[in-house]
Amino acid sequence: MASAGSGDEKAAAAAMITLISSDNEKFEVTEATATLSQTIRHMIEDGCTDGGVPLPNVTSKILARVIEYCKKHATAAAGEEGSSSSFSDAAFLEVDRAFLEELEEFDDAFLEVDRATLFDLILAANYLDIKGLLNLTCQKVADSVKGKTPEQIREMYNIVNDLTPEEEAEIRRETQWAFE
Amino acid sequence: MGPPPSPPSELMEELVEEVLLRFPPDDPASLVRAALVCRLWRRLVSAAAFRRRFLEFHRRPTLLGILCDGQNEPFPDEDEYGMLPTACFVPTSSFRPARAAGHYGQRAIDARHGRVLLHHVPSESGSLRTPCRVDLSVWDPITDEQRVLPSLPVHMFRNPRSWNAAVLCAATASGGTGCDHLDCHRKPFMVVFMGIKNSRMFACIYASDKASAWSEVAITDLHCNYFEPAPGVLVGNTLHFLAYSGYAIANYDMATCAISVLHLPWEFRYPNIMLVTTEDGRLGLANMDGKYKLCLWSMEVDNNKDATFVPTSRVINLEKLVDNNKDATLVPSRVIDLEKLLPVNALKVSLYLSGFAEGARLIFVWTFDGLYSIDMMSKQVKKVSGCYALDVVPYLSFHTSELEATSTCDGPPTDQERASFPIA
Repeated sequence: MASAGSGDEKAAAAAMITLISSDNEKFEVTEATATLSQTIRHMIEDGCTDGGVPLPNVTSKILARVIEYCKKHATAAAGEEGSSSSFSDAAFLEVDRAFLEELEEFDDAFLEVDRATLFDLILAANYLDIKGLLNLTCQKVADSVKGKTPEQIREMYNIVNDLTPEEEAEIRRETQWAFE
Repeated sequence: MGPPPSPPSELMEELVEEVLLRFPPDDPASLVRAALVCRLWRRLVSAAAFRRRFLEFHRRPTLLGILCDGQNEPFPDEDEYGMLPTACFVPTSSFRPARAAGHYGQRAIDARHGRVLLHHVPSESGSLRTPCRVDLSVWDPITDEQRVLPSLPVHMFRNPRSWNAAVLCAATASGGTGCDHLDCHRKPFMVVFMGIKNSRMFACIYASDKASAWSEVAITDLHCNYFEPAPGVLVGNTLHFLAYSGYAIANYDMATCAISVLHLPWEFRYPNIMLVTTEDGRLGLANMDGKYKLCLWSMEVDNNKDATFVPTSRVINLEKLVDNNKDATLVPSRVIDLEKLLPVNALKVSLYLSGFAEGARLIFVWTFDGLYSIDMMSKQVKKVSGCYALDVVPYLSFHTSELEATSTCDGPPTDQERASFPIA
């Protein structure tokens, strides 16, 4: 059963998909990489990927980063399936741990981008429906406002304060404990 | 036809919500501050649907604080012993309960599903002269509602250690499928009280939505000397309390209304042990092996097995109770060497097991340097500042219900709203 599974993976890995960015750049990726995106997975299932998959909402700059993420995590997913259940001895667990650490390091380095790129990655992850990437990027934004005051958050993300002073005062009054 | 150069990206509303969902649940103030950023953010966090999603996203309730006996204050007037406990809430997050001063004359017995069970310590209790009744109340630190329960008419509670009790969401008794306990603050709760009269164990239940009094639900011939003063642990439908009848665990199964006793091997004795739940949701034990080794055990109960661990002298006493009296087989699951995890200063005197946070898998250890929490899974160690008590009751919950309060009004105010909120 395990060998049949890996056989399928190999077949899937061999199939290539062409992704086309909004600025018409073409990217060749394996199906395993592309199907981390649920949006693309559905397109493949519907058999409408011949001649490439146009992604009018994603620029080449961002698509390149998204593919970089998917490549790394597709390998991770394949690795996980390969080492599941039957090989759960200590040596394998050790390998898994090392691999997970490497993946974490990759994710950390991947997120070293400016705010505009980070937002573009969120938009792309949302459009392409890549759960892991959406989680990673949204968590990064959430972490970045940790311990910040409302004023600092607005400044960081260019948000215009459209609350009236009265509304602000009211919120502060109702939830006083949060500002002590 | 290339696209125009992209303007600085702004997140759509649904993506702002995705970000807000990932705010840390152990810093509830951060979401309140988020409500002050702009109208969109305020509207998002104050919506009931968002609060529900937030709870479902994070799933496990977070440690918001620790209940412990705070500064003893002299009892006004007559009390000759001069000291009564005060149940204090020591925050471990940005949440602060409305009642910051603590509950004078009360002691936290248990906390579960967002509620705290308090015991009103009678002023004479220090002397043991007239312990005539047990007064309990249930306090919700988040809603700050407190319900005083009817007194237990207990002339038989001569020994203050002859009972223990637990508070839980009422849905637990019916199999636990009705509620995920993420946000059941204002829903019915129940208190399970286990006591000993004439050296036999019994259980009573108070249900907040049904009874105006306690109802006795089970009584057994099982013998028990007293309960240890440590909070119980809930596993499935069953509550477990440490008791003394030999070293033992007294159990009350809410599905079958049955009381049972598990006997522990001699080396597992209070206060060197603590009941916990294991990774796979079974009953477990933690004990200290030597000075610094924290050992975790999972319990395997074999219904058909006889008393292998109980020393002979005890078996004689317990012979006639065979049916309901089982022995616990303990399987070591892991050892955490605290000597490597705690700072040197904390290791100056022996460590003491202070408490266990059901649902967060945190063990609290009292040290020379104060209270530390140890994550059973990641072994992450954290100092709980401002708490030096020996015995603690961890309080876990989500604090999102107050976000509703941030919704002062939605959208731009209409003329009518302007009239009712005159802008100077």
